[in-house]
Amino acid sequence: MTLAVALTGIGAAAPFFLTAGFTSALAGEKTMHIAMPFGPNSPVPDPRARQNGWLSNRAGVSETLIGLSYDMELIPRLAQAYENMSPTEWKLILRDGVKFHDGTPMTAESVKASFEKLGEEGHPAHNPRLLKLLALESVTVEDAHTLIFKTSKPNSAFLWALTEPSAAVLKEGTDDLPIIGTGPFAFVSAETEKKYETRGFQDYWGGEPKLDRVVFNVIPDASVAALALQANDVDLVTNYPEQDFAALKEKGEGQLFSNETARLFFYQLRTKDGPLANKALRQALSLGLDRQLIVDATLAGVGGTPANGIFPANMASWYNTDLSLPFDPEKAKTLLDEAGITDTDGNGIREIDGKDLTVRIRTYEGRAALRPTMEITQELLKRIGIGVEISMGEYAANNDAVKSGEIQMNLQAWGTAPQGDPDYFPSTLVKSGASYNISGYENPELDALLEKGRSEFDDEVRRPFYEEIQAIINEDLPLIPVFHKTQVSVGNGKVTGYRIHPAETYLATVDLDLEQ
Amino acid sequence: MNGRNRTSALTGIHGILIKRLGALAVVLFGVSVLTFSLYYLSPGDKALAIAHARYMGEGNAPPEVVQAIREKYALNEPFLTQFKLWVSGYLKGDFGQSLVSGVPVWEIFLPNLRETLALACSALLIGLPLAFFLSLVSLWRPGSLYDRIAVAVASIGAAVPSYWLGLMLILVFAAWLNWLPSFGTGTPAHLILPAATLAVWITASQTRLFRSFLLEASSSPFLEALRLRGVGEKEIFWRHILRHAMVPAITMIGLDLAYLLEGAVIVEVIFARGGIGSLLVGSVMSRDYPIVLFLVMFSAFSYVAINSLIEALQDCLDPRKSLPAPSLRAQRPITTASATDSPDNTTGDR
Repeated sequence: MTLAVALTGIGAAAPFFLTAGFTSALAGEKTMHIAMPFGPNSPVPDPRARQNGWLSNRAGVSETLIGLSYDMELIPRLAQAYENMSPTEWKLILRDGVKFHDGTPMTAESVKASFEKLGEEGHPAHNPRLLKLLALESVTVEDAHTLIFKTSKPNSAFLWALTEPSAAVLKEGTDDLPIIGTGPFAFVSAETEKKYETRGFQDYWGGEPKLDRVVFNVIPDASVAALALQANDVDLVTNYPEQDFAALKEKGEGQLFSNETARLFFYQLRTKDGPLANKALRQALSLGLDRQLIVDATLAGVGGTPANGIFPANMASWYNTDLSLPFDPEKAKTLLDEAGITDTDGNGIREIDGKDLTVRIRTYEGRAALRPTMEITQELLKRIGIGVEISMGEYAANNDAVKSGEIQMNLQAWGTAPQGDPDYFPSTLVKSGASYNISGYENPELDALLEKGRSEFDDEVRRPFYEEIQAIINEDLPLIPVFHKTQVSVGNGKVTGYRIHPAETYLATVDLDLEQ
Repeated sequence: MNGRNRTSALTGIHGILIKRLGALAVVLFGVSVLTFSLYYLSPGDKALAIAHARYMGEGNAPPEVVQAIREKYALNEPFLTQFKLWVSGYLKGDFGQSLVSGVPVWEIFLPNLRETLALACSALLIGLPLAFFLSLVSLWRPGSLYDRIAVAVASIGAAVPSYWLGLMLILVFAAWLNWLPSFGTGTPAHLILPAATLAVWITASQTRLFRSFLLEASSSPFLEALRLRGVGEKEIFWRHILRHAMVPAITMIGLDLAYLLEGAVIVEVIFARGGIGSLLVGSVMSRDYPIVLFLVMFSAFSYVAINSLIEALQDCLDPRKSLPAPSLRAQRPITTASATDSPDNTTGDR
């Protein structure tokens, strides 16, 4: 009755408030409402600072000099051409006719000024992380359209690092226009963790955007986002609940979008000591993982693709097409038997050095698929005779636990190529002595290949090195790739010009539109 | 007895204030030490956790950046140094900045507090009158069918989880009927569904409590004395039963309010509104400790403040503690003023 009374009250009041604020401000304007799980973390998020650029790049407000195609290859953006002059010098030629959102033209001077703000402590654009990625030392203007970027050390990933959304070109903001970019949409306003609003920019160098306004709404709960779509409060939900997506797919309903991303779910192993120092055992673990089953059970079969290696197939420039990570429990058992890891006391668990083999696995909160993946792994490994203890921990604490050998496997999810360059992931995780190499893994052959890849500036020459690196990781397994996350989005049936980018770097483009 | 009350009340106002402020300071200091210790002792590399949150993803920050964060925020310093640094900021009115966004904590806090207050107040405005109405129905014929229905409604309301109820309300009123927005903030319409979700919980908890307070007050022996003196039932209810029942009820309402200030996380997240609760959860997840510490301090402060307010209100309402008001005497020239006091003296003596 309480409910009934309350609801009747609301029902009576509802017509008076009807959806105010949800209709477009001006009649005839084409506004698109998009639901996403995270949002701006301040009212004026400078695209160059912290990770703000990711949002403004997706929103089409800020742009980088170089972009990443949907195959994760380098493409011209604000720079129309680029050239490696020496291991530490790069020449970039700017595109003609680019205008900032305040109507002024983009010049070599303005690009230089924008990049110089990265190193200014106290400036909202201050970004030590990006400077480190670029290894940027200085920017000099050669003529109105040409810039020379100098790095402090040879950096073969320089051009790739320029695709990082925070490497955006911006003009100093004003009170009226606090963020002045060059993209197809101009910044209007942001509300912390709630909303990011833009309007179409008619003078965009790539043509006039089709939408007048775009509003990004933060809806943390995916099921609520799905209901908001049903209620017509949003036109597009970027992160749709996987189970519901699968159901729509089954029924052939809904405007569905999906694409594999470079986010890899993988186990980082303690290889230096403990049971997983045994390579045959690591290989058996990988063979025992039914990756398709994991994806089916945790992400309804639509939210992930079983991994064949550390990079997804749509990372065309670097993906090693020869690799696979098969599910073969029989082979796993044979490998274990051959390595002398057998079950002699008949309790279903194999013994190593006379003791039951128990592998301790941990993961953390924050990504819904982590915990079920770990739980299914426990069951799958039990089937090949490996005892598993699982628990939830905290991200940074789990790393410490691997390092000390307290746990043997740490389930994580990383973007394996946030800027499209293949060096970052292996260099950070498996290179000897690397910062996140908590496995204690050391492989001189792999180290040498990574060195070669870094010192070479022609991507065609670099390619075979990285193909081999991927093969070594699959063979040696200092980490076990499980699946690449697939992003699933659902539109209201009218959305056109939308594609899911593998690094989720772009969304609102000139072509994004709503059919009437 | 009246004379003693009067003198103690005169000196008491300052006394109570000083006592309260002292208690507040002690509580806040205790909470700050506890919270900071828990933060300090929590496992894992804090700099790494901050980098993780700041750069939105695992392994997104090079080790030099993590190291820079560690140095900038003095995360490697011993406990006392870090604690002093933090407390001295508070004493100067500087609550620090979010480690994730760099925005001052106070600027993050205020808009969230506004959302939370708007939601908590609307929920109480809907929930309390309903609870009052249902308890009156109960009181009207205790043990009757109506009473049982009211109790049943309250029990069901208490058993329904907000997560489910919130989603159902969105489904019905936003997705099917399209009367109300499904998420967000900005207009009064945005408040209705989340407030209704919370109101169900308030109604449920308060109905059961208020019903028993009213039943208890209405069976007090002094009511018979009043009836014998010829005081009407209406006056007995409004002036005596209700006033007695309000004393414990206010405590419970105050506790509900304090809870709503921090505990409406689920409703805040479901309706994508933001607010103190979801801010706290988000900050804990990203180890944004300046915000976490501030919110814990705020929570401690609001509990103490609300409790003090409750006590003050109770002092006004409780006939045993209040002074005989001259205006009441003037209104009621006959003997009843002392009559009101006498039964309470009896209860007091018991």
